Amino acid sequence: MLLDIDNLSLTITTNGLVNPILDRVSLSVDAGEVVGLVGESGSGKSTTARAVLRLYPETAAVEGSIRVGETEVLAASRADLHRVRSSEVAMIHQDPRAALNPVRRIGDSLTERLVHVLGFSRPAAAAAGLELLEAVGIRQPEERMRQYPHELSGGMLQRVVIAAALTGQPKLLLADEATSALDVTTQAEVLAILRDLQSRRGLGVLLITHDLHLAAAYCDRVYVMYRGRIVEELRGNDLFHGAQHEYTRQLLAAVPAIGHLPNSESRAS
Amino acid sequence: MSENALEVEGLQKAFRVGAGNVVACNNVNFAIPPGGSMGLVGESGSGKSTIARMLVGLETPDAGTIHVRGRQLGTRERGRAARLRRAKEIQMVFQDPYGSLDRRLTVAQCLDQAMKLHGVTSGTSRASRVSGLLDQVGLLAKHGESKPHQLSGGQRQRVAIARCLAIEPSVMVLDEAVSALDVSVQAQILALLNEIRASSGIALLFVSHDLAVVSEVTDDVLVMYRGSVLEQGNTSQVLNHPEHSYTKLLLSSMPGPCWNPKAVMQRRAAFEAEVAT
Repeated sequence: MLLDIDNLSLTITTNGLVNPILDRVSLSVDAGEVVGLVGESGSGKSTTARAVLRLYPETAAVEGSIRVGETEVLAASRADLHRVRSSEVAMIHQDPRAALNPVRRIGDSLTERLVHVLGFSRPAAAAAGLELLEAVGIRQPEERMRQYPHELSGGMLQRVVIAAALTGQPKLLLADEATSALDVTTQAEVLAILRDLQSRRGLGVLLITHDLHLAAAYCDRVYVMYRGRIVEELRGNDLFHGAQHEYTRQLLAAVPAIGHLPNSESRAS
Repeated sequence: MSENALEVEGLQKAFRVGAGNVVACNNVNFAIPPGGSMGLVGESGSGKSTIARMLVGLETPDAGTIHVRGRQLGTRERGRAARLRRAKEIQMVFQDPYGSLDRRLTVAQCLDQAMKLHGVTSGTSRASRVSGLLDQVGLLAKHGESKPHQLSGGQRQRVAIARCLAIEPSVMVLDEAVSALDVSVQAQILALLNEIRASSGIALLFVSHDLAVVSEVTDDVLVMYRGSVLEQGNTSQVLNHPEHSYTKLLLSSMPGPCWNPKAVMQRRAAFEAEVAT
């Protein structure tokens, strides 16, 4: 198993008040698998993903186990943690503009990890960067390398961020609402590219989203989170019809849908 | 003939970008009857927010007219009285209620101030309307004493709606007003908006990229792409039997059963090639 979270509990105590954030969360992601994590704001989806990189407040009390490959993240040494963060797991967030330095060229942001962490020479890093931009479907990559973030559209930038995430050749990708801010057609494009990369490289993906239709259509398996707990685990295909838990059903019932849409040719590919 | 709450004719706007012009709104026409609801959909850069901004006076149209209940709005309001009159006719709810509420004011103070600004002079009548407004948007009396940071996103959006209702506009423009909310909260706000337009006769213009949301709350819809209206008509007709290839592309892009991102990519490339020729 690539990622194995077992009975993870996380509590934060502020001013003597004990706040349980995660309550016995167990989930797993295998190589080559796309796993969805859905739920409402505050349910603990992002906290779970961040815990995989051991990113939580110092005041948090954490129990349980998070294994990334052979490494137990919660007990890892500095060197092991550094290896997990730099080359085994990559994370993509919702807003690509916040992930890229606005005053640096795309090429510099893209090759930063290669040069400073993985010890590539600059020309070798630039060549690897070009290859990655091509892999995420960016045309004229040489020109893009010289541009600044403000010169590119949101969809284009998110592809750059995905390319940058792949520079360390990670095995696991944590995508936290990575396509939520994009237009639907752009979202489909970015996800098609991600699917392609994922299957070619055998990546495991944990896709955090509030879009239940997306989770159902894109993920192999889906976990539903509610108030810090995993309440249900389903196959993506079964999300809309196989849900057993009352909360999942309520959530699904609230999803707006285009009424009486017959299986029209407009939806079929 | 009954007059429309909002009537837009020949609306035109271009922005100068570098050496050239980008047409953000190209000859747009539509009308919404009192209590009616219209959706404005399209991707980023389609011009939908520019239209919303022109309606509330944040942008000046290059050409075209905007009528609210038969009265033509000026292109540039001068003076406090004229600006207030325009604000009273069209109000806007933004995506992020946290950014549009003053964080130092309690909810009751916020509503009170809006009414005071628009000439409800008696303090007691304002106070009684505050409790009525809170009730109307599904908030409790105790929420009147809360400040924005003490409320959830859904509650804040209810406050923003209550503030609009406080000054009884003819038209409410909702710019991605439910996009940032969780689905269960979103469903409640949509139900609230449907209730408001049925009971108050306020017309709603719903600017959104979310076709499913638009299908739940609007009678008519306008599909825009790069400043032009590509398809316009009854919402369920347009969304269930789309005619324009772009509307079809948008619908096929929405994740759901039979969704195929790779096919969407190809369709989009084909559409862009079609536009280019």
